[in-house]
Amino acid sequence: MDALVFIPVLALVLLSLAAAGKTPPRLGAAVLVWGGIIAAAVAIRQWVPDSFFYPKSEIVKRVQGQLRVLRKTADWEKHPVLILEGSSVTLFGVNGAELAGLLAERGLPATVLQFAGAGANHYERLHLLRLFWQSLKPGEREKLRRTRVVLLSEVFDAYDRNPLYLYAREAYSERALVYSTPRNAGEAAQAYRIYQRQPDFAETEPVLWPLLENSLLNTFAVGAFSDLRPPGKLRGIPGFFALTDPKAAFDFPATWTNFAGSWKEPEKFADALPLPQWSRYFETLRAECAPFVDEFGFYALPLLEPQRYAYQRAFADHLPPSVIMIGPPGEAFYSRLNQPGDWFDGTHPRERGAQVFTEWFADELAREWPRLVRPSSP
Amino acid sequence: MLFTTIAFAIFLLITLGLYWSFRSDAWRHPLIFLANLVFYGWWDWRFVALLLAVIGVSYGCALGISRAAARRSRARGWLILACGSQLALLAYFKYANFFLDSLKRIVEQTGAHAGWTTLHIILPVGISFYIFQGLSYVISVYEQRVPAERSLLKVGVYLSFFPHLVAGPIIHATYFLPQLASARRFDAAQFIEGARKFAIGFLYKAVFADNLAKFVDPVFAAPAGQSNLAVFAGCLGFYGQIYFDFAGYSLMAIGVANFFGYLLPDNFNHPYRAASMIDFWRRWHISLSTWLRDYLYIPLGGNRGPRWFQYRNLLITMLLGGLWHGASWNFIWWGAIHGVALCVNHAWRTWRPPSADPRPAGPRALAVMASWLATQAVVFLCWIPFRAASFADVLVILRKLGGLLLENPGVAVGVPWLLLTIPLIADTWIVGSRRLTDRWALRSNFALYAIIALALLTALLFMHVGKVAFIYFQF
Repeated sequence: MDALVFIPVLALVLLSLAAAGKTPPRLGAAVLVWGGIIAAAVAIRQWVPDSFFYPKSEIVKRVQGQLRVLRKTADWEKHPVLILEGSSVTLFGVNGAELAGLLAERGLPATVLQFAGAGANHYERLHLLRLFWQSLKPGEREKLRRTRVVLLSEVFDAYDRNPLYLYAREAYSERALVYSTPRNAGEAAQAYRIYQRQPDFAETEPVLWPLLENSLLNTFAVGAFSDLRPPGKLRGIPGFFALTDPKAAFDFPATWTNFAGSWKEPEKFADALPLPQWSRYFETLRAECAPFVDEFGFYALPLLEPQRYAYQRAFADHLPPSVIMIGPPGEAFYSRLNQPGDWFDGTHPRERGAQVFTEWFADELAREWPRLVRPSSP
Repeated sequence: MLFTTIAFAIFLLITLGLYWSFRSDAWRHPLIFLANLVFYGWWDWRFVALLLAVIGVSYGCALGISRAAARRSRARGWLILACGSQLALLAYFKYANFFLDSLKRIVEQTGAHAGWTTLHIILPVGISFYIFQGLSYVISVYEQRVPAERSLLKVGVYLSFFPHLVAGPIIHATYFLPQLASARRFDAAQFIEGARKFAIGFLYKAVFADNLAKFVDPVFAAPAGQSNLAVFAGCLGFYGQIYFDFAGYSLMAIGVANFFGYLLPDNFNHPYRAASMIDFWRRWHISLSTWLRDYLYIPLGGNRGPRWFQYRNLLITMLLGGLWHGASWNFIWWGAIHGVALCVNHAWRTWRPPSADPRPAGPRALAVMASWLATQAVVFLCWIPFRAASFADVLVILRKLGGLLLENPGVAVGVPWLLLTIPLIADTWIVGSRRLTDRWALRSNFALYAIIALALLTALLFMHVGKVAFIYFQF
């Protein structure tokens, strides 16, 4: 029901009734009033949570879904909380609920929260995490601070290379708007400027201008109620989504052959690691998550693209041994994923593939368990 | 550059800041002219040359007319050159494809083969508006209603003034050139009134029109697949959308002009209050109807001569008015129906003059109500060919509307009935009522400032995000 239409209609009626008073209007006074009202509006926007302005956005629904997972888990504060943050590779590749179950079967109880979105670049995920922290009740926040929290970030070359990967494609969508907060946009713009200076800079669409526009739109929650409907009950969506149908035009045999061939002559990742734009992002992530997260680690999920795999490999090799790194899996593991029905395309598994991914992930986490649950360093 | 975008907000703030920082018009005029070119070039730089050509032709021919004033035949030559060249530009960019396509269909219907293909011509935004203004200028000079302007810059500022450049209001030279001749002084009252008008226009366009478009577009995209009730809702939505879109643009244009110290004429006066077709055309797109009256209807003979002459003149004017909106048979149909409706209205007035109505107040009010309903029904039905993609779609929609009366209206899921009705009712019967707005006026400077800011913020919250061009840009 488009009941909120009465609000702009009221504004229209008031505008038609508004008239100058007995003394002539003065621009100075008008600017003062306008400035005050605009400042108040910006302050209100900062104070009111995003879930009020964008209740139907994917980002808010994902946060709601993970809040529900946390709240439904009995005594979650007594066990480690594992947070996976990633893109579609994680969304379609790891079943967080199943992963928690597999760990529990191994006697390793943990709460798994999964913050992933299809095409979600690092700054969208960062905002997801921010919203999650902000959405916690004070008591939950306190419990989380006392609980062992490990944040594992997905390693995927395209997102690590371009801090605003896929932003241009969705520049004027609600999705891009929601995470283009002035703060997030400012940070993303700085990382993007670093990326622009790299020799392999390859973005062809304008990004910084839409980013600036969206951050201004976000500041005033522009279009937040454009469907003219009162915000309903917040709904959550799960962190995992199974791909059941095959992708049209995906040539599994050719992809498999190409990838299998790369075991003999592995692709090399040419750039020096870490990529400077990624480092910039990761500093922000660390700083923002530090109050809640005890340990930062990474994971690289299976895929069938030699160049992307080479990046995962190089990334893992580059990390100091003290940092938790799950994957990438070796040649032997891929024999479990050699059926066309396992794959949606070269980077995403279908439902059965995701099952294999999740089991592998559980095994790897179990192996790393002592490091995952060790007490936090001061 | 759309008025509802951030790019425009930045452009406006910079231009406005620079404009009022200059102390004299000697600097302001070049700045405004440059701003006009940037505004127009933002859409496509290539067509700035076209705009400059129209300015150059209008300026040169007006001077030619002025210098040949004593020799009318030479002045007429300059006038023909100005009108012919500008109409040729309009014909090429706007109508060439339409005529070629129509001719091709006729040829092919005879069984012959038409060997030509449709040209790939991009329609320059706002071409009809600035060419009509160019024509208005040279004709006004020819008729000695305004002296030829010696400054090319001033003619350039007048013809390309960015607030009204791409979608009007169409301004007569007699209205605007005198404003350019006198120095602009900052007037806070005018500036704030401009802000009020801009805020109303912003609500019209960004909230009501664009949100209606989200519902209307799918209905008109595939009317055959819609229920009868959904088609009716879509037509009602467009009835509101086109008004809020165009009136909103006009109000924003007037408001922006006020920021720079200029006045533009009102372009709309709550046309859906009109209880006759004659009244409707005095309230709808006033600057176009005035232009058509002054430069087409009156030169054709206007009301002079036998009554059927007047009807003929009306029909020709409205047919060309329809064609002005776009190169399509649908617009010609729209103009033709309006022309016929105006003729019927004039004939009715001749037969039953309103002042001679002897009935008491009650029945007279009922008659006015019936007249209002009949007028708005005609306007409502005329918007169908205006919006439909093809004549076949018009027939489908009319059949569906007929089905509403004859059979089960069907189910219309997701129809935003409140959005379709409440803004129109409020705008027509509250905002449009001078009696109500005068009686309940909030006469307080503080309230005025606060309401403007709060209304704009409300508009931002409720506006449709995404690019929806103004409907009249295409004309």
